[in-house]
Amino acid sequence: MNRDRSRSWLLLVLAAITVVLLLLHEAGQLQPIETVAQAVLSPIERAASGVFGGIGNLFSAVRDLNELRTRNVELEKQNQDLLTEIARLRGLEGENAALRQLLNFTQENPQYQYQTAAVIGRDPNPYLQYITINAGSREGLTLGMPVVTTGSTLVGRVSEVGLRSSKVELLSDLASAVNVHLQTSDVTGLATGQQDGSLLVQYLPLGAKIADNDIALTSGLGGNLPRNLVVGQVIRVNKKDFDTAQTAQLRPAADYNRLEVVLVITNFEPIEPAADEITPTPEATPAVTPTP
Amino acid sequence: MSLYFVVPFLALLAVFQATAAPQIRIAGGSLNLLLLCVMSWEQIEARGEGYAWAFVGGLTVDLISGGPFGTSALALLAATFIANQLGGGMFRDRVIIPLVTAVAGTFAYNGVYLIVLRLFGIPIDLVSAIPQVIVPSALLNMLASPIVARLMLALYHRVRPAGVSW
Repeated sequence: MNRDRSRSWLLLVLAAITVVLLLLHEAGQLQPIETVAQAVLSPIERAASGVFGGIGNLFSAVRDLNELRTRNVELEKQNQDLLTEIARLRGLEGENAALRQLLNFTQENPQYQYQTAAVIGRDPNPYLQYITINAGSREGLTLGMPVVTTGSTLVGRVSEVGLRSSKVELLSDLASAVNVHLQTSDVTGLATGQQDGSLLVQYLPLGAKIADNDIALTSGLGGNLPRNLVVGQVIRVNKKDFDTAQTAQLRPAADYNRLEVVLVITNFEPIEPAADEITPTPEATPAVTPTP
Repeated sequence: MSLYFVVPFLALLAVFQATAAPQIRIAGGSLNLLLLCVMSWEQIEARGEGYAWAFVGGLTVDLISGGPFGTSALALLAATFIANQLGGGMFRDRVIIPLVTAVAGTFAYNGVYLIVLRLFGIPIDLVSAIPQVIVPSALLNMLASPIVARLMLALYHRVRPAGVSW
């Protein structure tokens, strides 16, 4: 009986401590402790990321069994040594291509300064869309910095900064909201993350004709992000006569599950803090033509 | 069990959750090895030590996660409570225990996690989360639970002579 009671007490005490920690976290009181703890964990996470890096490729291959079988037959015909060499070279080629594309991006956008960072972890919880990168305050990262990948594609924004690692809130996170401009349709709206990993552009004027496959770019409204970074492509338009605005579903331009290397734009100066992004209303979002 | 073993062990499990588990997401669900290990330990050890594991492991996950700090710890404590209740109940000494615990624990973990997220203003849809995330995760955890339970039992037999130091 006493043991049961002490167990119940342990549960209640630990739950109470956890609630206190939640509140302290929200008040920002735990930041120093979290920074130190992250500094300890990030090297382990980085090492584990290397070890487990191949698991994703393995599972994507298993998903398409037919392709795997066909490929297996072809592969068996080849010499094992040659196969190993090809695999090694393909790995290097892919990495090289990604880095070259990133380099192209930096050359096309010389007005920005960049910090290259490798993705070393992803949020353990399926409801949250964050990645951990191996650059932090030592590399000059601060809160709200835009994070991009190949093809001028916006990935998200820096949401937490540690000494040697940072967390990036992806565009697909439920709490993410970015002002976008639909290129062909020439209207602006607010792209928010959805639970299924897509993005939803809200507050599009009801009268606007939204083109299929239209490209969504950052509009620069609110001053929190650079203009003309690619966000995604329209895959569906939701329009109801009784609504005051229409919405469009976007396929994100980047495959967030396959991100390996990203660029953090370190010299973009937001006009306002990232957390206070302005939510546009139909009246407040006039069509803006992007400037190159 | 010694803190010198438990803390690194739970930290490694948390790192696994951040590195390997997101890559093996199937139908929206993912394997939660930390949850399974903590619940198994609570059922095997049955002295409340699992609550301490849940607390430490949960806070470690929270350090890695972008969510509110303490959410995973609270969710793991709830799941461990469920494991404690099921472990001592009518299913005791049955093979079905790990399976039932995995499903119930996954629902408890995700339920508490989602409620806390909602309380912190994250606009998550609880209803759609059930088929999209919770059910696939529960199935994956259920499939893995007998193996994890075996491994944790083997660990228990190995370390138990060293005594409890919580």
